[in-house]
Amino acid sequence: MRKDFVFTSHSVTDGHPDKLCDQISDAIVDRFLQQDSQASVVAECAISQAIVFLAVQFGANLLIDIPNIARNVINQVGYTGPNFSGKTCTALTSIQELPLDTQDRFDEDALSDEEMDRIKVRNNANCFGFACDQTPSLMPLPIHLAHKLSRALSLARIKGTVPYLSPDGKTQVGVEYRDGRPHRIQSIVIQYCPSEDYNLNLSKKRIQEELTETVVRPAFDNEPVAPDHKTRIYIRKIYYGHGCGPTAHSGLTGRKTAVDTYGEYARQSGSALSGKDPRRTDRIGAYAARYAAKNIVAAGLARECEVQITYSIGLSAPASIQVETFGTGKVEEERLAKAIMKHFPLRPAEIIRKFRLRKLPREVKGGFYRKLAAYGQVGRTDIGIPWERGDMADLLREELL
Amino acid sequence: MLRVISTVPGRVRFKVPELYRSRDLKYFLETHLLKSDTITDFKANELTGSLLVRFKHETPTDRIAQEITDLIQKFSEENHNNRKNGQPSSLVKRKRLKQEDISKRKLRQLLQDSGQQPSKPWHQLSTDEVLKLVGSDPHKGLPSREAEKRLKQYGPNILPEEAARSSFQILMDQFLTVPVGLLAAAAGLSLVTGGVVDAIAIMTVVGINAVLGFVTESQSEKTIHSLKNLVRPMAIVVRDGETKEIGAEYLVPGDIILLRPGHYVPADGRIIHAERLTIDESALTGESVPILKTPNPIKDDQIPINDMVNICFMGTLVTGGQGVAVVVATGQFTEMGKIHALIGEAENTKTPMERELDTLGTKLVMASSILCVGVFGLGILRGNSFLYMLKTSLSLAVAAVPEGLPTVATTTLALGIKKMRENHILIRTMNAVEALGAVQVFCMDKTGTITENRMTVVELYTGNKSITLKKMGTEISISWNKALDDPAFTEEAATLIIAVLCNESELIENGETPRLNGTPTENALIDLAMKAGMDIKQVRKRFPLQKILYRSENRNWMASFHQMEHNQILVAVKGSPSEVVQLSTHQMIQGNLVELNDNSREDLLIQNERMAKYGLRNLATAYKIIEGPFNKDEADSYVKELIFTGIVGMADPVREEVPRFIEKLHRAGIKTVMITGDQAPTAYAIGRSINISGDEPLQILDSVSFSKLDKEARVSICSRVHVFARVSPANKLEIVEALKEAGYIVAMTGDGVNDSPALKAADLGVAMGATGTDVAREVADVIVEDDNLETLVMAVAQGRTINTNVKKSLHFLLATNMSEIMVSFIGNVAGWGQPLTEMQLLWINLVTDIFPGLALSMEPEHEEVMEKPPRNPNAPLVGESELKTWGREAGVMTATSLGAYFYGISRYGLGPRASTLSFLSLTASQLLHCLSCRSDDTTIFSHETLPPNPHLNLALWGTFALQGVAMFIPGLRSLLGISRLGLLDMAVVGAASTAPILINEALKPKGDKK
Repeated sequence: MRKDFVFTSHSVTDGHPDKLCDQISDAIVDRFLQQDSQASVVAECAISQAIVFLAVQFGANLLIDIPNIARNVINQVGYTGPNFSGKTCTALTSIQELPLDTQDRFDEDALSDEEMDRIKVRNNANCFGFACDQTPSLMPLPIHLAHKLSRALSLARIKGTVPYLSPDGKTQVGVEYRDGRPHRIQSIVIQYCPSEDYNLNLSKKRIQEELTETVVRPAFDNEPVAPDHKTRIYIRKIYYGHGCGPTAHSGLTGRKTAVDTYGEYARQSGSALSGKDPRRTDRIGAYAARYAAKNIVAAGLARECEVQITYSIGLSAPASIQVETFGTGKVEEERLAKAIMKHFPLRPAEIIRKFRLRKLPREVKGGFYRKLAAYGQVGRTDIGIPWERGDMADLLREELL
Repeated sequence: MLRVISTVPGRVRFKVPELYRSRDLKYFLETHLLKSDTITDFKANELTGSLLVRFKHETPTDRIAQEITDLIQKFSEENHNNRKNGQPSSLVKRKRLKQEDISKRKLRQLLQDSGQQPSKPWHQLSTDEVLKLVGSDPHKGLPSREAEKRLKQYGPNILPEEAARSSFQILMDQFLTVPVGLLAAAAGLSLVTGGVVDAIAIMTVVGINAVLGFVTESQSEKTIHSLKNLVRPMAIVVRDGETKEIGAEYLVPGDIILLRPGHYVPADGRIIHAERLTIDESALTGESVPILKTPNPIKDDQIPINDMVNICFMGTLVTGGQGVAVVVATGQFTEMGKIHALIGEAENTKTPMERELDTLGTKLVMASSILCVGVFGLGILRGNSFLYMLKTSLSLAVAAVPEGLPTVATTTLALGIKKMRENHILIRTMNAVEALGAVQVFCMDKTGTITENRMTVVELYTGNKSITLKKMGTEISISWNKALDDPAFTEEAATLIIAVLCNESELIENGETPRLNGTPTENALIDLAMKAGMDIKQVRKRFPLQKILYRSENRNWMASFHQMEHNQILVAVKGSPSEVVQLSTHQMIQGNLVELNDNSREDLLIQNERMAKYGLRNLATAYKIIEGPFNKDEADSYVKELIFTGIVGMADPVREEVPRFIEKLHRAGIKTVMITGDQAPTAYAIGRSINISGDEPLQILDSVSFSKLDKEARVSICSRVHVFARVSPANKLEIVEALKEAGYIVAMTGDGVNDSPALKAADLGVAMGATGTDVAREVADVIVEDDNLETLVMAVAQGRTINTNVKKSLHFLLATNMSEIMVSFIGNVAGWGQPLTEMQLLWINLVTDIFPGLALSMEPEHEEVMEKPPRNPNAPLVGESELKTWGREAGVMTATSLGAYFYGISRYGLGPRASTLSFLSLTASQLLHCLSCRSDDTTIFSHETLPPNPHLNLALWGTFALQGVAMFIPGLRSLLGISRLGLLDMAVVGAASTAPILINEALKPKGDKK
């Protein structure tokens, strides 16, 4: 039982170099899947000093213009200035084409149950999913708020309310818990970087006021736990030495896994999520685990729930499942685990089919994975994410209560 | 006679039977109609015999008709007269300038005295403004006097050439090396001290060297310069109201030039009239698709050359239509001239071997000087006479310097050049040969080097199936007779027929090989049809052309209307697939018409995308048959509800020999890099198909602003990249320089003007002979005459062989010289008299060192020369390990020679007999050592045999013979101080000569044999 403590999570805007790389990697995945839904692809991206390094391994029956995708993402995120933009950056692409592996090329919709059993896991993996009732989206409060703040920061720039911001920014929220429940906001940190293309002659105080007004206030609209007069609010300019974004600090795919998931409130796997196709269990397992955990909490069977799935190479079904409810469970954890095994998609082919992971990039306008790559891959309510649906809650409730 | 076809106010279309297929009349009409006050615009089409004229509203049509009739009359009279006088019936008066053609030197003088040409944003100004600024009249052109004046003011339209090296310069260069310097000093000293013979002997060697070098270098310079195009570029210009053809060098700003297909643009000009004028600017921009030109001004001020569609550039080729331009820049003020200037800025480089031989020479000179001084001093201290010691130490110095060295290097390289010339590789400098042997990275320009620079149809998608064409269309078999009777016979036939009919390329059949005159795309289609067995002329005759609807801004397709039997009209459409698909309602599949719905349309578009992804340029074909007669003015209304027949995918094919070439380079340890202006996926597809990355994953660098990168980043990235995509010409130079900074020896191939700076900066610049431009050839180090890349591999092998051969010669020369030094030195220092007299030393040096050394440098190519990586350019030719080995070999020879000496002393005491023994032993063992130097890996004991070297055999036998002669001719014998020898003495000499080679071969370090 967690008692009194302060917990802090952070989030970044979509222009932060690490997140930018995540988005580029996932945009590449989207593109491949859009045209060949059975493609396998691993895309890694690194950015430094206006050079984009792309390493892509793929097995597909088509070619895509990889540097062009990276450039489009960079432009769309908002880097269009003279120092760094999609048009002027240099792209070094290392491409390795893999032979089309017939084992991985299957149509998940057409498989029977036995055939699904034949699609095996290729590597050992631990997958964690978490849900708690601290917010309506069933996510821990700190990361939820951090995302709201970073979105507001980005929105302020896009809308033109605060025109001197560059796409690069970072937010941190510290929440004070009492008796395991969020009590108050202990601290808020907003780190912004003024764009070089702007002649900024506002005073620091003025900027702080402006950002408080346009970023902090809207983020806490309708939030039960809001800053009070004792909350430490820091709005600071990040000073890197020269410029913002990739010209100032470098980025790499998969370095913001905490931002992608639960803000370190729950356990998570060390593997990155972005840049991988749906055949990768270390990615889709995380989604499956979240699906299970969320439905358990949505069904009222626990207030806090962590689902841990272990996959083992050569098997198709998980090697084991653990459910941890931190003492808030209304039902024994073994029963919950059994229910999950029975009703939830856990085998790789099943997960792909249930969440339509190979078909979504074609169906969602502007790509699917690309959108996941910023502001969280779980716990989002702005886009229709299959694993965020609480459609199994009733079933669980009936069965277990 | 003239007939009016249609008329609206201000516009009339005539049918002029005389115009049909008469290019000459067309030109004639154009030039004269330009001058007319009433006529504002016109379009003459000799294919249809129609003339479209726009004129001032008030003028009655009859008057226009009369004007034209008069012109036609004038034309036929002129023609008639010309033919009577035996002149060709061409209207373009080939009038040369009245004064004598100005000589080249005078042109250069004019160039030097000329002033600046003002540079203005010509593309932004309207045609009237431009004409006013340059002070020119579009109808009359410049008056000749004004042209002369401007010629003096602005200089002739030529680019400053690189002056060739004069013979004197070449001769002088032979003498300006350090070893020669020392030898000359030694000779001088000898002369001063009375050793005339010595001095003569030394200077003879220097002389031989100089002559050899001079002959070979001047020979190659001559060859290279003979490559330059001797044909003078001409221009069609309007002066004094008349059209004439003059040498392009006389053009000045303000001249009115006429642009015709198949001619090079002679100077930079602002277009003032264009009739579907298209120009191939690939020599300047690398873009092989011709650009459509227009006379309209362009608003933006800073635009790249590719976008200046109202300017024509010097050195580019007119491919279609025609036009008129006013010259705005000539000579070095043109775009091509500016690139030419860049060439001057890129530095020239010295090859590693040259540098090393220089250092070696210097080091040896220093070492020998020290030795000299040392021996001299020691001798004096011992009490020997000044003169005696001087002579001795001088001869020691001469012994220390391998005189044969400069000769060997020069001769080897010269012979290499000659051999390569026999294989169609032209070498411009001696250094290029070395660079060939040391090259580590090969940069290839995609267009023209890796690809053939020629559009070819590679895929045909018809009736929902796709045919890949590897053999240029011979895979398609169509029974043409049937097809012509019913175009709906098969979709392949239909596609090809449409492609040929809706096509403006002309098939010119004079002589044996038919030529195609048109855009690359349309030529490719005709080519395909021909290879599939179609008789183009027959088809075009069968369906005579009635009208063409051209592509335009909003219309990405072209339609042509043809007469069929039974008063029907065939509408043939070809163009951008997405648009043609939208216009079609049916598709032909297996000869049947199938209706198109949204899904099938989408499928067609996906096919199009698939083909486009592989870098193909796609055109779709469709047709319709309508009942005639049809209203030509409403032609575009008929183009709908078409029957879709297929998509044709074209690409610039990869040359067949390229993958093999790359594999050979990889086996020889040379990295390959491709440079292209294509987008990344096309570059990837091509790079993969030629396996440019070998075993590694393919790395592509896609960059527009390469120069903005940090220098270190540039250098480290460059060395890992296999393909540079979206590269502009300026980037090529940056890439070459970055690779050089990374420490590589870089070879670069190119054929356009824009490649020149990169070619010059590379360690080895390679230009293609037949397709390359003059500028590229002038600047390159190597020219591949037959455009065959595999010849280059042979050249690299030859270059490497030459390198190793020079090393072998060095090996021989140094080892033998070291043995001479050791013998004399030890003898002198230890006070054992003179094992070798000065004359003997000189004899050894001059006679026995040059020819075997030379012969070694002509060692034939060993098999494994291309199976090993290139030698490390940073590793010296003569390094520590070499010195140790060679020192050891020299030591063995010294030991046996001194052994014979001691035997001699013990038997005969100090004197000539003893020194004869050491002299003969040393000479013989040195000659045999030559055999050991043939290879670093094989020994005389091993089973592998080396390819025979007849020169070496000749040299050895010859020198032995010479030795023998020396022993028997009295005069020579006394000069050399050789005395009679007994049998036992001969035996000792024999033993002392053969022992070293046996010992040295046995001790030869064995390398890894794979």
